[in-house]
Amino acid sequence: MKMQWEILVADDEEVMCESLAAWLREDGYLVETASSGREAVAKAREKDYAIYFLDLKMPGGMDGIEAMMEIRRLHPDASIIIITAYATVDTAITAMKEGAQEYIVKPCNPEEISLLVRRIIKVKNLQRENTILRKKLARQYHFQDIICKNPRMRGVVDMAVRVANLKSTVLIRGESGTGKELVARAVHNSGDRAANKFVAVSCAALPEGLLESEMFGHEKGSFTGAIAQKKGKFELADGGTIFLDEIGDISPKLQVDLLRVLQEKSFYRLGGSEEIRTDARVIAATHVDLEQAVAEGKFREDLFYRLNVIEIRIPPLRERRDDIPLLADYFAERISREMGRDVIDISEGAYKLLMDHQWPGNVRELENAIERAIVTSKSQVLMEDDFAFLPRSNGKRVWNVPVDTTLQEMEKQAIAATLERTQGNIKDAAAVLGIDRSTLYEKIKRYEIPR
Amino acid sequence: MHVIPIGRVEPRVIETAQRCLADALGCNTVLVPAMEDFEFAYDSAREQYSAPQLLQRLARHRLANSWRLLAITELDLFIPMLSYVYGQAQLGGALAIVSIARLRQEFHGFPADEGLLMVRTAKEVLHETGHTLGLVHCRDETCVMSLSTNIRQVDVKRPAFCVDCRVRAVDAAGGHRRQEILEAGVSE
Repeated sequence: MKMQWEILVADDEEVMCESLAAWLREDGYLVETASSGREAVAKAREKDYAIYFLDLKMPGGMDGIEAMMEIRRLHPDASIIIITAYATVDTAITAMKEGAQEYIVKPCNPEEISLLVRRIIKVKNLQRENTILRKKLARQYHFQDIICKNPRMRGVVDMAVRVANLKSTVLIRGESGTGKELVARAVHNSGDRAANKFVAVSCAALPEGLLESEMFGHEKGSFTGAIAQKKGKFELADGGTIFLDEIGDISPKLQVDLLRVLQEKSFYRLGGSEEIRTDARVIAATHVDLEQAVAEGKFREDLFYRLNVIEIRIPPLRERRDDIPLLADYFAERISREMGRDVIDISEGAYKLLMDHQWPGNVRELENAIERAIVTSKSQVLMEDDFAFLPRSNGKRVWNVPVDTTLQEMEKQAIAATLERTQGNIKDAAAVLGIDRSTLYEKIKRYEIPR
Repeated sequence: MHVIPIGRVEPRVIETAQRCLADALGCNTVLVPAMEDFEFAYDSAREQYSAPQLLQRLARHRLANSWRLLAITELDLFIPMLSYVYGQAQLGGALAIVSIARLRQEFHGFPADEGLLMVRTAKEVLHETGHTLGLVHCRDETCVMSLSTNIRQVDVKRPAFCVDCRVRAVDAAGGHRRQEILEAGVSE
């Protein structure tokens, strides 16, 4: 979805304000108005606008210049255009000195104002793109980068915010592609260790020996090929955070080593005799059912409890379907920007298809699906056909037991899903549901289920 | 859809407007008697007429069964912030106004060119009607929904919607009209 820039127009003359706002809205901007300098500042306090149009002369104890100074205190990079009915050199100089980007005399030539607005927006777009790319490069994710409105997911974010400044070990659990590393990075970047390193280790990617050397480092000559001393990730993460991804996959030997680091806050490099102390905060993640692994003797119980001091469980995407449109919009906007494409919308049909898909690969799968659709789509709007590569569920939905819903709502969903499968056939649906037809009719009517 | 002249407007201009609406959007239009009370919107200092004021008055001329009401005028229009506009519309609303004053070659110091005037009229009529359907400016400068702040930009665009804007226009027309417009056969 294309990011819509917001503009604030402040003028005490309503007709002036409204007509400029209407004209800018026709250009696709979201425009709000303010009838005084004070109101403009109050609105700027709520959010930053891409452009502020401020009339120079406004009553009520705060003129355009004063309002501009206040707004610039709130948002030092604000783009402010001062409007005036009379051009005098003095006011122009004052306005520009105080940081106005531009100074225009009304009535203004439409060409001039449209060029001015487009020039500022072009810069804003570039700045935004730059921020996205930098963020991607440095992977400096924060909690605001976790896109969600689902209550369970909001709970995850709240929990992560609360634990950001603690030293306790965090265990993040969730299926593949749910964004475990994103949450870990957000915890790191929002806590008091943000200035230090975030070091990620994928425990599943390396064989035991290599992983051991990766985590704890080695001394020169400690094994064939160890031609120089190497610092381990625990050492590199000193003062920062070490992220141990796929912790459920590590060998019994490494489990013992790791337990020791967690207890003693110190370790030895491979082949080394010097004890090295580390103040790395440990965040571990797994998609494996660790309790089960403990019960089967594959994972040490003491290590499990050491890791599981604070547990964050990220729900799979199919259990937070209300976030799908939000995420789809976010990815469409970001990816089309990165690819220099101009995708500005997703059609209703495509949203529905995305909502219905099971997403076994979770958010990562959704991101890849949007990217693929953008690559192959020829229009500015992503349509159902652009997602034809997603496997259809053939109307057979996997039933996920919702945890925060009423029995009535579940009954309604069960009836609707069954009717969809029987293509509206009441007799068949009643048979599947194990109730008689008249009861089914009554429930369809009561729940207002469309057929 | 209804079309209303404000003051005297040449019949050919009105016919052009009606024909382009039928061709591009499948809208059949009905011409209603001209609005003659427009002097209240005159600004003597600017020697122009206020588009927002005319638009406001236009609401009174809208019939109860009118889906959209498009006004066409020879009057030179302005909005308070800008020195002139070719037209104005309620974004996603029912009312729009188009001025042909600056679409005339004579305005720019050239000999009259009626053919050119008709093409420009069609473009601005579709443009403002597009705004009433909720469309904003298009970045494709050949699409009729691209922004024109000078006559060159008016001449660059075609008197037709690009594919995306057309789909949106049809979508926005919505509901029971959707199919009708797609089939190019809307009747009032």
